[in-house]
Amino acid sequence: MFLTARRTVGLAALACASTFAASHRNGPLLLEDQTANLNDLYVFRSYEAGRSDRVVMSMSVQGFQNPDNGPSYYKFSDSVLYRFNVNNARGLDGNPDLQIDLVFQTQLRPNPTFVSYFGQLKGIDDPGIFLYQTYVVVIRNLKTGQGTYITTDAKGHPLSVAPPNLGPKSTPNYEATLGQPSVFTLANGMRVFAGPRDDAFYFDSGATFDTLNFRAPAPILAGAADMGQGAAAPASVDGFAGYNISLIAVEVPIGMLTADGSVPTDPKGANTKIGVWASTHRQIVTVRPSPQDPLHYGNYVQVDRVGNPLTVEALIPLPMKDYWNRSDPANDQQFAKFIGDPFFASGILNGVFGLKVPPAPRNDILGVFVPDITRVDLTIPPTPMSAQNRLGPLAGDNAGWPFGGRRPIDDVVDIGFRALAGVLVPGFGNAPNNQLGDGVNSNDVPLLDHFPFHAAPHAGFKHSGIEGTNGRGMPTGN
Amino acid sequence: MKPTFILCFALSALPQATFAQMTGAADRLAQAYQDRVLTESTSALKTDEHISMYETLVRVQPEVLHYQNLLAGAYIQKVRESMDYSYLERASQLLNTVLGADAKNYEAARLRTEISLERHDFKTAADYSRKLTEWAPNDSWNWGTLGDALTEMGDYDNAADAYQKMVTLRPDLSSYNRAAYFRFLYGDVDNAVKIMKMAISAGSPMAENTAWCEVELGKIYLKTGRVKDAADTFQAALRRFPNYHPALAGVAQAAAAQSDWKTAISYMHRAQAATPLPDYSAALYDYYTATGDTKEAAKHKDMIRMLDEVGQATKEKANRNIAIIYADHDWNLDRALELAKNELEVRGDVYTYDALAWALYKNKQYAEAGAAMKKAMQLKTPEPAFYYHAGLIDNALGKKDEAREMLKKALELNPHFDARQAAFAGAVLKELS
Repeated sequence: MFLTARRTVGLAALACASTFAASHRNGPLLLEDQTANLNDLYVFRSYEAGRSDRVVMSMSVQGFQNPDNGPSYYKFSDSVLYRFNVNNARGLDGNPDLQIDLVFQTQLRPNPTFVSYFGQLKGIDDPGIFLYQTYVVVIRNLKTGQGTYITTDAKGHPLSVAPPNLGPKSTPNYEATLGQPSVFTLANGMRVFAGPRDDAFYFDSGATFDTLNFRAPAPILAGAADMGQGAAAPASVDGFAGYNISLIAVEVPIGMLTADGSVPTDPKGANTKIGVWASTHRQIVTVRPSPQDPLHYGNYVQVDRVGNPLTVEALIPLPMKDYWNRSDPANDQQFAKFIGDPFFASGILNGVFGLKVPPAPRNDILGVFVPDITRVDLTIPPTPMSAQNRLGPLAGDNAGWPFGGRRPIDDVVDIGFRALAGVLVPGFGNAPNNQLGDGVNSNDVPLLDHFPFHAAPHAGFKHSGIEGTNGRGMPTGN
Repeated sequence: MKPTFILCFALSALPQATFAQMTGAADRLAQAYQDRVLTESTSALKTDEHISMYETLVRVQPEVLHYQNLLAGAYIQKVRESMDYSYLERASQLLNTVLGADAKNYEAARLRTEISLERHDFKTAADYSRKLTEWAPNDSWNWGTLGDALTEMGDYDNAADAYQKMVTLRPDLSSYNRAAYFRFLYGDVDNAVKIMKMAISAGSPMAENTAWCEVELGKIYLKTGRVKDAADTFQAALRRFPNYHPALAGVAQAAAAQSDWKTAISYMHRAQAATPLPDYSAALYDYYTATGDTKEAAKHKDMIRMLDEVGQATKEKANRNIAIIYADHDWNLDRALELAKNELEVRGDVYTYDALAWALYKNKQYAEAGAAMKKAMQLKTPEPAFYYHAGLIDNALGKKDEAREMLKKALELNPHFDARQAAFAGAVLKELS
């Protein structure tokens, strides 16, 4: 009896695993990319002391990184070309004039273990960094066709990727020992950084996923809940707290980015503004072997792009998503019907939420998102970090999104929501339209007042400890 | 953050009842927002956690078809990871519901193709894919499923076109791994390895997807004699996605190629425990036989017979894996031929022709075996077993020179390509030399 019962159980279990299934090649099909997936683009005039003549551009990739993702940790993909596109002419039409590319290479050093990093890492050249990544910076001037390849810093050091922050034993004093030393000054005056950092984006995502259980007093913030920093609404939680991203940041003298090489001072001048977007690219390979072409590798194809925060990509219908990702901002007019749908405001905010919003067409929205590039007015002086306001231009701090580019501090969720409610259109800047917000008013950890401006990455050891769970934020250093 | 949070945020502020006031257009817009936010914010979750989250969403808002699509996608991923086909049925039912309510639901239509592929209904999968490539010619996914179906049907020329379209529209893990496989099929091992490494480097938010490519790379290494590289790559897949059954089996096979039977047996048992496949039982039979433990070996022979019975009980007619196992061991040769012949009705790829040729050979139908083997070798795929089978068939047909060349080639690719068959190949080659 006992045996029979066991055999029956066994058969039931086996019947689940159909035997034929092993034999067909079910290659994965992706809903989302990993290494080429761009999260955020930041572009702003530097507010670091003495460097206001420079523009900082940074892109974050591979969001929601668990800091304790050993043993292999996150890395940049060797098969992805990461690109900053700069548009500085023709009234910012969404065509690139200058491109700054980064291409990564992974070197696996002799490794007696299966982990990527081992022992105390005493510096960026420590032999315990088994997974050693370097990168090449390529600057392409599309007007002259000139390309500049940069493989080392001004002193000849390879451009190496900052290792992850493992914890107090392996990476003590992370920022001083490994973070800042990974900032390289190039011979042309640029500075560059690539490596893990805290995700500067902040948003109460957790409330949303708890079946839309928003935390009062959000979404109407008034008084201290609106003006204060931190989680002003006491219950709000930054869903991105405690997670890292991979950051690529470049600091470029303004004269290298403008069409005529000048540093503009006249707000009405021809070269006052630049537009920037980030993109990722991968190479085509040929499927059929061809003896004529031993390498078999073809052109690069764009696989993702990001201009503004709160991107419009989610609005593009699924059948066109690959097409959108491949296309250039210059052709974004074709997507305007998906982007500038006045239903945004009229259907939800007005029809359901009861807010008085501007009528269609919403040219104020299309002006920001079509073409989808972040615009920077280079004549707006940067606001020192201590005086910056999370609401940017909505609170009189014009050096923030969407006019002065986008800084890490900018509360793009609240700004975006208020902008959709019409506060940038005369006659609509009243309460409650100008009080909307998610209740999370600042990042979980302090941002830096110097390059690369994103805070050091969270440490794996602390993240996995009892105090490191996602929530109220946690100490970044050791 | 990149996704558009605005609307999701707006929705989150709304009381539940107000959803009913939204128009259809609003619903679609809302779904688009929530989808992207959900996908990005939950990429760190495991598949079971995805399933439980989407099941909750479907329960709370059964009218939102989009959540049912997301849940169906998570079920299909679960099938990939566990081979538990009860999830495929659940996914299929969900998609039928969605398409019943909205025949034009693109996302559901796309997922339905995957169901057809998993069920080995390759003709339907090809038909669905073709229609979808007309509907959305810019979506790389549909060219991928079209290529998959055509590859299984043996229509390699059109499959290559579909895959080329796929990789040109979007080079990523999905398209790279298929390009790499095609290179291998056509015998271009160096570039197969290079491109599969690009697929791994491209990555996926789903750890299983990347581990899958690592397993494929390990298999290419193993078939072409790079046993140490194979073992390292299978281990890398296991670190990325623990307890992954094909990676466990890969480690076992690499160990067996080095006659490390202890490791081979231990890892193959773990693979078998994770997912009971006849191939794993057959390997255990061979490993125990190699160590002289005929008593343990017999248990695994019983298991294969039981798996075949289960298949028959569920009206499974075709199974080339079991056909090869039977032919390899001279068991149930009638049944082996029947299973292989039935497989040919479902698909006509080189692997099916190889299984058929091998079963025919073991049934002493040498002329037919030779004809089938010719089709199996049409692409010169560097499968040691193909060359081994071809060698024995040539030998039976009296073509001694060809037989010698074929057997040499099998052992050149990997002198330890199979725990049991490699020794036979060597013995026959010795006789012929």
